[in-house]
Amino acid sequence: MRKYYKYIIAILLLSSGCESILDVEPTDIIIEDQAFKSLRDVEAGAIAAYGFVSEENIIEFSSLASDDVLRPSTNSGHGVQINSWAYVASNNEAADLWYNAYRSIAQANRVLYSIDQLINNGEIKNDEISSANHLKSEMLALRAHQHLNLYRAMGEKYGNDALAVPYMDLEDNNNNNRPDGLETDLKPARLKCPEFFEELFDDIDQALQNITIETVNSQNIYRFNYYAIKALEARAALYSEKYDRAINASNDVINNVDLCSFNDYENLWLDSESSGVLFKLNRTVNDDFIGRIWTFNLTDISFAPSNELVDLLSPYDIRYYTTFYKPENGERIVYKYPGKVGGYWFLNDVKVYRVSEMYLIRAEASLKKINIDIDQANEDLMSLRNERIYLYNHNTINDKDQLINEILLERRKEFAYEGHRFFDLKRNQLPLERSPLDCGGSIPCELEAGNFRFNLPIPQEEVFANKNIQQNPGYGQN
Amino acid sequence: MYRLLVLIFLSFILTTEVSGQNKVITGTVTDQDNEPIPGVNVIIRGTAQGTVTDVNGNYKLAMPPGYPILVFSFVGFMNEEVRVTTENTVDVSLYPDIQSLTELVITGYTTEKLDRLSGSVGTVESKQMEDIPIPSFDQVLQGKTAGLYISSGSGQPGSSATVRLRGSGSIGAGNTPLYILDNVPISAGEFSTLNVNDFESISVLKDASATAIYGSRGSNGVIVITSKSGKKNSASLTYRMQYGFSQQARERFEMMNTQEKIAFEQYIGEGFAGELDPNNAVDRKILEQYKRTNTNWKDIFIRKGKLQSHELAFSGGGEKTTFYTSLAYLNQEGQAIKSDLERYTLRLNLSSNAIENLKIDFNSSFGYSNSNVIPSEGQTSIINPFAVVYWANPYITPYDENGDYNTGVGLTGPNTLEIINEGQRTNDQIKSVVSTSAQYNLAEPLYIKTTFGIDFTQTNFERFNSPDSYLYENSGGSFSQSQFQDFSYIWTNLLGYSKNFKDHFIEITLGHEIFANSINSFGYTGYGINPKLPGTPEGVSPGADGINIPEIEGFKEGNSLHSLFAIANYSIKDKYNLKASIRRDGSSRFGVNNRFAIFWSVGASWNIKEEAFLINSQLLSGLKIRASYGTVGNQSGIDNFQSLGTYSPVSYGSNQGNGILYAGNPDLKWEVSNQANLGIDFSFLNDKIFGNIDLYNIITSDLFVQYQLSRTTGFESIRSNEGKMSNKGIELTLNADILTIGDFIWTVGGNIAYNKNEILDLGQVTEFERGTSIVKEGLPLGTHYITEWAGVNPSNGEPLYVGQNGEITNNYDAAGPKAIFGTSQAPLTGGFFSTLSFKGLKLDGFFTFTSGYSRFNNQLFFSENPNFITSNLSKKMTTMWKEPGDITEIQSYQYERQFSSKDIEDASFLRLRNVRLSYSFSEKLIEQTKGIFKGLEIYVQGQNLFTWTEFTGFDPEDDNNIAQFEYPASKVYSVGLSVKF
Repeated sequence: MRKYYKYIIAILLLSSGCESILDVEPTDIIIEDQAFKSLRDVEAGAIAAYGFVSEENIIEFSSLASDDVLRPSTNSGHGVQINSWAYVASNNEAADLWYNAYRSIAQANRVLYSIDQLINNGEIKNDEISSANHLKSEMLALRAHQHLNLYRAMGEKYGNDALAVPYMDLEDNNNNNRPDGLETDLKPARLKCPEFFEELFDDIDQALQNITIETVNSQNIYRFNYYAIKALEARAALYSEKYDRAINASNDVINNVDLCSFNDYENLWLDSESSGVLFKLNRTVNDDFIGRIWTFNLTDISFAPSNELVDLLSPYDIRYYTTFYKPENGERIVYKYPGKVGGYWFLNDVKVYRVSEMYLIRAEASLKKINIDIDQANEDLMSLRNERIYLYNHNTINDKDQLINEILLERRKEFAYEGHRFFDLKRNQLPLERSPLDCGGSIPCELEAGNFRFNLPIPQEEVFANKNIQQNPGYGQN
Repeated sequence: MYRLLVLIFLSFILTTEVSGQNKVITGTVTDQDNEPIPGVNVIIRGTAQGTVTDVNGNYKLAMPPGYPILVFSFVGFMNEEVRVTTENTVDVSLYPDIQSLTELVITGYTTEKLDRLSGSVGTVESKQMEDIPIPSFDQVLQGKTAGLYISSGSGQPGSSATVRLRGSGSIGAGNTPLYILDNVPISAGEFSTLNVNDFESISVLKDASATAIYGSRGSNGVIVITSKSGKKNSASLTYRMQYGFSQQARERFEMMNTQEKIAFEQYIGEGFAGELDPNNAVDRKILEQYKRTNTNWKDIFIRKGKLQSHELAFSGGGEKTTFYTSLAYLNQEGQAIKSDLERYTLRLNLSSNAIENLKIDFNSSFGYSNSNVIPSEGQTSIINPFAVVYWANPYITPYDENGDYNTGVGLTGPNTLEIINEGQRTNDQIKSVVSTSAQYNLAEPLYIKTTFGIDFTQTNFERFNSPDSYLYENSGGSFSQSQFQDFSYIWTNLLGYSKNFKDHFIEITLGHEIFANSINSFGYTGYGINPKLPGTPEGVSPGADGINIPEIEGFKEGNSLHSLFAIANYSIKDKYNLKASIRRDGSSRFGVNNRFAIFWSVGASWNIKEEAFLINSQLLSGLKIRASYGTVGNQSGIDNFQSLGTYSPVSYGSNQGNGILYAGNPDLKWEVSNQANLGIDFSFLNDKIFGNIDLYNIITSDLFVQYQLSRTTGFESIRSNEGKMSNKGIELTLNADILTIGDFIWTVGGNIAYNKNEILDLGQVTEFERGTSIVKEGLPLGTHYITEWAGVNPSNGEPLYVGQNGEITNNYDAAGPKAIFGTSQAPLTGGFFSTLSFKGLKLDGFFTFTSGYSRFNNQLFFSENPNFITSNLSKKMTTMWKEPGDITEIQSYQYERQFSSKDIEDASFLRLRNVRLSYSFSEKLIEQTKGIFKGLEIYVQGQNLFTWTEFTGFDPEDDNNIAQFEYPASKVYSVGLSVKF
């Protein structure tokens, strides 16, 4: 048999030489370890993190569940569960909101991790470090913003024992030498509100450290800039009842950025003007058309403006013309997102932070902080109304509760269909009461204060795959 | 040696006995490799006289006058008949008989003697496949071998079928067998450009003993195709032609005629005719016109499709080189207008051992096909002609009074007719399979063999929708082209050793193989077509302002395999046989942690008939037991890069970045199938009755499933190996010569297979829904999952359902779906044939059947649903509930029509797949042509002439669980002839 060995050895040699054939590299997708090699790659990663942001999800939920819409007979099923407060753990909108937000967080975490790696191994040169740090601030802010959205939708009203949502960052809490935010088999539990906001403000603080202070311009308005991060800080502080912090943050914005004026306001919604906007999401024909949440076309209306909201706005209020519209011989439609000038119907950029919110946050916080400041609240309310209502004449309100109600009412008018109304009620433990003109039949009229449905369910898929997650009360464990 | 001496002695005696009186013939009998065969029986037909060849294959025989035909026969070879005219020397070559009981079986890399085979292998030979007018050969295999279930998904000429061997072994991956043509793995489902008449035999490898050598791709079975080769020292030219036509089988439901439909619409007050007021003069006029019209949309969209094919095959060879070459043309029209296939195929096979110790083989096929296809095939779409035939209202005319298409809102019939006639939908394909191999005998009995082969398929799709057509006038028409290129190569190196040591036989083969596949695709769709330039990219408008912008798409990807393997056979006197194989496969698809896997098998067989206690049995002429066990893998049907974490382009505004795509599972590995097989081969009464029984148990583990992740990680799921499924079954094949009276012979045979599929484990979950079916532990794959129908409430016409606890309810949602309506994967399948022959006349009938399965008839949702009143409805709708007391199965139109168990229908069927009457002209007639013709056969045949079934969709046979206006199988009638020169 010995004479045959050489042939067997020849075959084995041939074989070992060919094994490299198995190293097939994909051409149409990018392998993980090839994704981040330079500052340019990090920038590409950051673009994708913004690309994953779907602010539309929270805007849709907040609006359809609120008293700002009515459901006409032309609705063919879209959003009915939310509108009727009948959502269950298998609700699709909840699943989308949850997954889309965590996906952009996962992307931001990978960008953040890569920046540190590339700086450590010298791939990012010294003259690139400030650009890298700027990207780092943006990703930290984006991560905080997305967590805040998740908290607003799924988290419980702020309280020391109330549950927020898992905070995904690059800490290694399970001590396995891998940052938690990069682990794909992690099954995180929900944090309590104080811990959650501690993480969130850590991100904001760090983001503010690394970013240069520059005015909002057409270049940085589509990304997290200094003032957008400040606005995020103010909003997060309001939700976590840190009123002094909310006031300080909004001061910084108000003192440096102008409110959108009465004359510019209509153009703001046509995207031909962006004064008073701190951060908006760039939307093109390849994205979802935000206005289609309510109106697919003039004859296919899923949700119309509620009569109550229509009645709240007087024709002297510029918002009367930017919130709804009744075409001749047609039904009234939501008109916050009519489309860009000369563009498609209902395709607009999504405004995420605006200066007017800072005025109303400062006003509200001034009344809720320990040393109540009625004057500041009146002043802020007046400043905003001056730019919204023709020939506005402010009568000072001295009653705190009445003033808070006025502020919430103003928030309703100013931010209709921008993702606030439902959460403003939830945050203030108020009931949701629809006008009899807007409800009845299969559309329920009242959601009493503190009802479990103020918290969206943790999606079924999450509960299924993550044994550590706690479902919100009222939705059962399955 | 002793036997041979006796044979020579005997032949000597016989020869001397008859010599001197008659004409003496001498000659040599050889095999296809020109080696002499001793011991061949040489009989003078019509007499008892004969002889046997000597040790050198020579014979000598005296022939009495009036008996001119010599019959040469030898076990394991096909009989050869030779007419002796004036010559005194007749040399004959005998060829192995694939069908006979002691044949060689092609088992992939090697061939095995059937006597020694321990695995389960089914063989289909060329004469069972030739001249069947089905362009895709996989459909031809239907019912031919036990356990191989083939269901055609479409009657579009050239479309391929779904092929399952011994049930489905996988949920998340492919269930398609591996196809090997002349040592080259070819892409499944792309067979329409291969000519089945070029195939000599097809081996279906069923159990692990046979398939383990294909390692990671073998678990769904392996189908090994060998193309024809020439015979040494001969030359023959064969011409075949066939003409015929195909038509639609009659469906088992009826639609309303004009009168019924108008009455129904008027009753409900909806629809084109229903909204007209008979008391209004204008309306009445339209209504009158509707009533006068009764369009049969079948006459418009369905036709008798013509069929023709021609083929020339030239084969033969000299002393050292043989060849087979063929050229074929086929043109088959489908039953739907503008659906057809035109095909040209060429083949050249060469084999030569011109150089000593070196054998070179070259096999090549090249084909081009071009087909027209219908729009939206197999979809519930308003432009699928097979839906539109039934949806179009009979009171609408296809053309208006000016002869233009009568198009408009909701006028499904004319709208679709215009789309089909004025547009263009073609698929053309180029396919080439080429392999070349060299075998060199190093030193007897050691050889090396190297084979290199390629499989190349390029398919081009072209779609044109005219800007002048009603449905496309808003988008300005569209034109799209896309190209799909599939290339793979394989390089196999074998080192073989085989030797007899007295009663012992040893064969060892070592192999090394690399395989790589790359797929490359691109395409575009343009809009705003210039009506003067239809059907060309030149007519596409560049678009502007985001409107009518052409779209571009495409992808590139590849995968590869690297393997080492060994096969060993050991046999004692062909009585006790052992086989073992092992293969180590590496696949580029799997993670670094599990890139390589080892698959193995062992098999044994025992030829009991050869034992002393049976060897003299008259009744039992053969008995063998086979047993095998082994593991085989599956890696088909999953994406190429699921083991890797990956990123893909994500855009934000006008910028493009790279975002997370898949989490990647570095532990991803093969599905592993553990297969046990036990078989018995038997034959009785001198092989008048023969067959085999196989029992198998297959457990597939590490099934590919999507493992759900916490969404907080940014990912939804990863591809993972969890879960288990079992397939158990029994297969029986039986053939018998029932009757032999003189020249009249009646042969019957068939096979039947029963497979029980059960999902044992799904990992993370115990069940998940897939459309109207459920994948659940303890149930078979394909289990229907739907709400149970309880009938119509006679008092108010409301539909009723049976709830989970048997309660009757009118609440559809509350009743909820159940998994008690069977499965869409047939457990019982098979086929049988009957052949009657008398002299040259032969009548073949071939049936296939499938039983014990049901399908979701989605067509009923449209034809028995008043919501679709603007379309034509089933005649059954005339029995709709109208007033209290009506007992009917059709609910009142006031209630929503839901999917329910009444849409699940038993799809068991028996089909006369092929019937053929042929006549082979007798030698006398051929003789009169003075040797110009060597053979002449004419035939008439029919395909799918009868189908017995309860199913009310078009065709019970289909490749999925749901009937959705698929292109049904056609009835095909044809006549043909085959001449050999």
